[in-house]
Amino acid sequence: MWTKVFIGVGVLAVLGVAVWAFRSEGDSAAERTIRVTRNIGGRAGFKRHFDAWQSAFERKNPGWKMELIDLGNANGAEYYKSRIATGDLPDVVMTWQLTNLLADGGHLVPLPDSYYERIGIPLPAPYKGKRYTSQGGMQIQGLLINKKMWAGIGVTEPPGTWDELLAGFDKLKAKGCKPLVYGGREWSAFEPLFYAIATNVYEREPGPGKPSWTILRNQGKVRFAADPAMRLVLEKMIQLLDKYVDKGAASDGYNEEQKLFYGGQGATWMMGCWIGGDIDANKVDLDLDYWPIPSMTGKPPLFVETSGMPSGWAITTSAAGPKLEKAMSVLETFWDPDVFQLFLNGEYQFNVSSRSGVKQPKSDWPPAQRLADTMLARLARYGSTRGFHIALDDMPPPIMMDNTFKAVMQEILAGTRDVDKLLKMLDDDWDSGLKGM
Amino acid sequence: MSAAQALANPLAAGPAVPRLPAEESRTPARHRKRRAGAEDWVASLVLCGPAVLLYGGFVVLPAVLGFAYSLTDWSGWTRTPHYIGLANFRELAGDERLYSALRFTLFETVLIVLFFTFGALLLAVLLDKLSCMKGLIRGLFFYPYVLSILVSALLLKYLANYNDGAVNLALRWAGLGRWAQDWMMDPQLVGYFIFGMVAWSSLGFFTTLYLANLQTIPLELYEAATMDGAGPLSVFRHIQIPMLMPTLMTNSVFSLIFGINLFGQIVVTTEGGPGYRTTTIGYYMYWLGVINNRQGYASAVSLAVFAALLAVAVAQVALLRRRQVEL
Amino acid sequence: MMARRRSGLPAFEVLMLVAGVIFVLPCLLALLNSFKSNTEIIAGPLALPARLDLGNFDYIFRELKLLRLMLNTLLMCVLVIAALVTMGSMAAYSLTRRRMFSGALLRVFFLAGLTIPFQIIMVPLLKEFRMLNIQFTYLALFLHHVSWGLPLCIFIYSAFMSTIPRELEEAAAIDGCGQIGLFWRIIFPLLLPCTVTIIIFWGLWIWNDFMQAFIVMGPERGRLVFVQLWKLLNDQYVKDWGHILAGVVALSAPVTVLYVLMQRQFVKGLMAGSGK
Repeated sequence: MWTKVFIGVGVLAVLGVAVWAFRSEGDSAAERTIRVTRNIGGRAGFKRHFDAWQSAFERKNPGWKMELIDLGNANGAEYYKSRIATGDLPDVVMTWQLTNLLADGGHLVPLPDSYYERIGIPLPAPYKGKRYTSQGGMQIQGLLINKKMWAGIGVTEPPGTWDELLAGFDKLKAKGCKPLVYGGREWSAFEPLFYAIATNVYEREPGPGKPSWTILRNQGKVRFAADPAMRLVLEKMIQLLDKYVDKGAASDGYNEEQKLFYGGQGATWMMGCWIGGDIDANKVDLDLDYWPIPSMTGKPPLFVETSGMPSGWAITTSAAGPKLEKAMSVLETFWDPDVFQLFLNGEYQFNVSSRSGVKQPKSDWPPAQRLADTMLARLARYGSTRGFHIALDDMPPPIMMDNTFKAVMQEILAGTRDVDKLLKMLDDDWDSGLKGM
Repeated sequence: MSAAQALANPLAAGPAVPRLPAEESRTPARHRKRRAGAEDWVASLVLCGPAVLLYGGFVVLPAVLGFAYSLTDWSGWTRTPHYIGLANFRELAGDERLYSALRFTLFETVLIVLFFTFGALLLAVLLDKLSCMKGLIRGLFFYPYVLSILVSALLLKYLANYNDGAVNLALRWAGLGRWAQDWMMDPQLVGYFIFGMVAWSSLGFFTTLYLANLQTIPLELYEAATMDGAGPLSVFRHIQIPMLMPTLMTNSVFSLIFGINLFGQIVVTTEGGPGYRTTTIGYYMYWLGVINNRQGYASAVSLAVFAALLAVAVAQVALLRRRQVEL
Repeated sequence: MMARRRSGLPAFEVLMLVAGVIFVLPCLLALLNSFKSNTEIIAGPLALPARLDLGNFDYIFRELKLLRLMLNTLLMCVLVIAALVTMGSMAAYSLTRRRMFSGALLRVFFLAGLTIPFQIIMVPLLKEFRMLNIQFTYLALFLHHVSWGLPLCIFIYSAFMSTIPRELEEAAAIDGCGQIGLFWRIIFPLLLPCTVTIIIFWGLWIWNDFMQAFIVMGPERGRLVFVQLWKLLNDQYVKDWGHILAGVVALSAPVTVLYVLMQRQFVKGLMAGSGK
C-alpha cells in the first residue's frame, strides 16, 4: 500500500514540476518596455513623481511602456549583482554610490556631452574619460532645527563654530531640553562624523593644485592615524556623544530619531535635506530651520553637498538597439517642468538645471513649504562644499560611508575612548576597501 | 563525544542503539558474515543517483566555481576577474578582523551547541511527560520557530530597545527601572542577546527532533523499568539518554552548523555592531562580499573556513574507522 | 510515550503551560499589536487595542493578495518536500545500510554541503540557471531548494536509520525482497517520525524563506509569501508595524495548525514503529 502511495506522490511531483516548469509570473512583454529602478519604499512623494514621469514618457513615445522596478530601501547592490549574473540589468538604473562599480564592469552606456548641454546641467566630472549619470537635483546636508527650542535659549541664527554649537547644547540641557536626537543603531549613526570630516579634514574647494584628502591618502601622503585634523574630529565626537547623547542611544535607529524630533522632544537633528519630503508626508507641525554645519577648525559654517559626485540615473547596456533611444527619452522626460517639480517635491532637492524653470520644492503643507524656502535662503547665504563627494575616481572607498563611520561611532557609544584604536579602524577599512575598487 | 566526532558518526555504518539482552548473542555473528557478491549497482544508482545528480549539479558545481573566485580580486561586479594567485590567502592569514570574527563565532557556537544539545533535551523530556494539553503546550514552545528567523529577530530587536522596548517599559512600570538595560547594544550584553535570539527562535526545532526520537522508545523498556522500581531520574539516565543518542549527535551537529553560519539575524539587528564586535564568520563573509565589494577575498575566507571544517570531519571519520576496526 | 496517571490537579501541566505562555510572550505582543493601527502601536506597544481593528489584515490580503501568495508557496513546499523525502531517504538508506564502493566518498561529498554558505554559490548558480534557460522560473527555485536541502535531509535520515534493527532487513532479504522494494516496504514506513519531522521543517523553511527566493526569482516575479512581505519589512523610512505584524500573524497561522495536527502523526508513527 505504501508503495502505491509513494508512486502516486512521485508522479504528482513530476507533474507538478512540469506544470510550473516554465511558468514565471509577470513576464514583462520585454520588447517595448523600458525598465527603470527607483527606491520608492512606500514614499508617496516618490510614487507621485514616478507616475507623472511614466505618463509623460508614454505620452511622448506611443506604443512604449515604462516599468517601475521598486527596490524599496533594500540593498540595490545585491539586486544589481544578481541581475548582472543573469544578464538582464534593468535599462535605466539609479546608481547611488555604485556608479564606478557598474562602469568598471562595463554595464553602463556613456552619455554624450550634448545631453547635459541640452538640459543645461553642469557636466559631471568624467570617469575614465566618460560621463554616465544624470543627477536629479542638488542635495545638501546640514542641521535640522526646532526653532522654538533654540529660540528659548535666545539663539535664532546658526552658531559660527562647533564650540558655539556645543555651548548652545549646554544651555538647552540646562533648560531640560534634549539638544540632539541621535541613534547609534543604524545608518544614521554616521551623520555627525561624516559632517565633521567633510567640513574639517577635506579641502573645501579641491582643484588641480589642491588635491583632495582622498588623493593624498591614496598616494600614502596622509593617514587617519597621523592626521591632526582627524584626531581633533574624533576627540570632538567623543565629547559630543559623552555629554549630549543619553544611555540607550545605541539601540535607537532612524525611526526613533524621527519620532523624538517630530514629537518636539529634540532641538537638533543632523539629517539631509530630503527630510523636507518627510515633513510634508507626515504633516509635521513644527517651526523649522535648516542650519549649516559649524566648523571645528575656524572656517565659516557651510552645508555639505552630496549630489556633486556623479550618481543618479544611468543607462545600462541592456538598453540596446531601439531601446537606447527610448532610454534617452526617459532621461530627458525627467526634466519636463511638471515631472521635475514633483521630483524636487519628493526628494526636497534644489534645481541645478539652467533650462528648467523649476527652482525648489513646493508643498501644500505650510511648515514644509517654509522649510524649503529657508533651506534655499540659507544655502544662498552660506554655500556648500562637496566634502569628499568629488568625483568617481576621487572618492573614499564606499565602505567608509556605508559602514565604517557608523562602526566608529558605535565603538564610542560602547565606551571606547582610545582615539588611536578608532583611527586604526578607519585606516584599516580604507585599505581593505581600496582593494575592492 | 565531541561535536566533530558526532559529525562523522551518524553516517558511519551500523546502529548505535543498545541491544536488548535477547538479541545480543545473535548479532555479532551475523555482522561478521560478509555479504555474498558485490554491490548491487542498479539499486545503488536508483537509490542514490537522483540525489547525487541534483546536489552535484546545483550545489557542488556552483560551489567549486564560487570557490575558484578566491584566486582573483573580483569585486562581484565586473565580468572578468583578474587572477591574483594566493594573494587573498596571504592576506587572510594576517587579517585581524577575521580572527576576531572567529573568536566571536566560537563564543556564540559554544553557547548555542550547549543549549540546543542539552537544553532542548531537557525540555523534550519534560514535554514528553505531559498527560494533557500536549498539543497546546508543545505548540507554544514550537511557535517562535514558525516565525521566520528574520521576523523573530526584528521582534526581539524592538523589544530590547532601551527607551521604548517592551522589556524596559515593563520594568519601569513595575518600579524596577534600575534594572533597565540596553539589552541589544550594550557591549557586555550584545553577545548574549544574539544567543538569546537564536535560542528563542530555534528551540522548537531541536526540541521537536528530540520528541520524535523519544516516540521511538519502545513502551516495554519503560514498563520493565517501572517494574524494577526505577524512579524518573533513573529512567532518564539509563533509558532515555542512551536512546536519544542519535538525535543528540544530530542536534549537536546542527547547532554547530547554526552557530558557524550565524548571519541572518545579525544583519537585521546589530549589523555586526556595536562597531564590529558581533561580526561572525558568516557576517564577515557577507560584509566582505556584499558591503565591501570584495567577493574574491570573501570567497577565499569562505574556502578557508569550509576546508577547515571538512578537514576536521574527515579526520574524525578516519579516526573512527580505525577504532572500529580495532574493536 | 509514557502514560502517567495523575491524581488531583495536573500541577506539572499547569507549570509547563505557564512556562509556555511566558516563552511566547513576544509573539502575543505581536498578535496584540496586529489589531492596532500603526500610530496606535507607536503610541503604546503594550496597551490593549482600543478595538479589534481588522484593517491591517484587510490591507495585506487585499494589497499583497496574500491568499494567492500562500497558495503558491504551499505548492512549492509540497513539491520540494515530496522530492526531498523520496530522494533523501533513499540516499540515506543506501549510504548507511548497504555496502557501496563509493560509500565513504559519497558520505563526505554530502557532508561537505552542510558547510557551504549560500553567497558562494549565488552568482555561479544564477549563471547556471541562465545557461539552462530556466532563470527566474519556479523550476529554478524548486531545483535550488531540493539540491540545497539534500545534504541536511540525508543527514537527518541517516541518524534515524540507526533506530531500525538490522534483523528486519535480513529477514526481508531472506524472503527474497529486492533492495529497492525492501526499502519502500519495510524501511520507509519505519522512518515515519523522521519523515514527519522533515515535512515540518522543510515546510517551514520554504514557507519562511525569503532570501533565496528573492535572489533566484526576484521581487517582481517571486510571488511567494515572504518575498513580498519583505518589501514591507525592509523599509528604513516608512515602517507600518500594523501591516507587518498582521502579515506575520496571518502567515504563521497555517503552519501552526499544521504542526498541531502533525502531533497526531507522532502517535501513529509510534504504533507503526512498535508493531514489529
